[in-house]
Amino acid sequence: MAEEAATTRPEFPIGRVKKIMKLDKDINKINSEALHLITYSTELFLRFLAEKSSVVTAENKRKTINLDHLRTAVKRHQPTSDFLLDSLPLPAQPVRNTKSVSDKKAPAPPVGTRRIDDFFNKGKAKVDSS
Amino acid sequence: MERGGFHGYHKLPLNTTTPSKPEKFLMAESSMHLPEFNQPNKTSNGSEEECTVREQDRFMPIANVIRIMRRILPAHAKISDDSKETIQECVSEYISFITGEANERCQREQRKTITAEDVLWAMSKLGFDDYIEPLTLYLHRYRELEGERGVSCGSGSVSMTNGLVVKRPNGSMAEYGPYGPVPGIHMTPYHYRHQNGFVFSGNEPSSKMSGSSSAASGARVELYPTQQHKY
Repeated sequence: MAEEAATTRPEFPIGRVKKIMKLDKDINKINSEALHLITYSTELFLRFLAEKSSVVTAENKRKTINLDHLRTAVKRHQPTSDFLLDSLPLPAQPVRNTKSVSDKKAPAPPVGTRRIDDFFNKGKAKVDSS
Repeated sequence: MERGGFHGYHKLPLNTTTPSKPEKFLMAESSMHLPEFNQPNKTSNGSEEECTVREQDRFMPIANVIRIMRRILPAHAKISDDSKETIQECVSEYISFITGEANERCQREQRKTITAEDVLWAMSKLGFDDYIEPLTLYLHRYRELEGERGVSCGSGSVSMTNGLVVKRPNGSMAEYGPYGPVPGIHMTPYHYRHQNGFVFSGNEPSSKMSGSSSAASGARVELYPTQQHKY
């Protein structure tokens, strides 16, 4: 019984799937069945990515899946590689919110501006001297 | 906190760029609201967000992603933060990819609504044949549950009550134990939202997957006796 329920109730929020689909302006209407199928297939895809990545991780005798493992896993499956490989960040490229990379390089302030902490540092120096 | 910051560019463009007619601009200014920009899920942040979708709307929720992955991964496994985020992006890419292909087929056949058949065709074309079987099974179950839920389909209406009395298409009544149609009950509040405005009605014999529509309804009837025996 629980098994049956699980096969028909998607794990992913359907509304979110629909939003993502609608980001493409060419997409008009989606039938409810089609929406469910895409949601479920996305879960299958995610499971596939997880499984293949963890295989690569184990091959490398690691416990933490990292981007290289993911990339290798993607490369090994041709259909996935065809659409996904280019989307993966390059080895040296920072992923959008990762803090570890931003710690290493502070972005240069735009031309004509200065960093706000420069202001505070100078202000402090003034206060000290007066 | 002052959103203008150093540059002060956040506020002005909202008033100057989009209204195409000056009169409209003046009226908008006087009425102090900008309906063109009004989107329910936006906060009053700067103009850099007016043209972009919020990050969380572009991706599946990270919690769901991680939860599904954890079921597959060995217990000790960890996922690096950048992998988690990249996988989120991969998932969205996948959705767009499949949908785009299904949509192309739909448009080629001069239809406006993407159907299950379009999706399954796209899967096959893009090389995800492995998914077709589980998806087909999923679709069957989905259609059965939708059929149970009281969508009136020519051959006979079925209704779900708390007493779990279900009228089968062939007219006979059958009563089920408490666990009989539980999946259906679980689905009821969930699917109801999607019923409106969508094309599909549970019993249409458009399914090529099940072989024939009679097989589909035959399958449905077969399912019940099994449940009955169990409970």
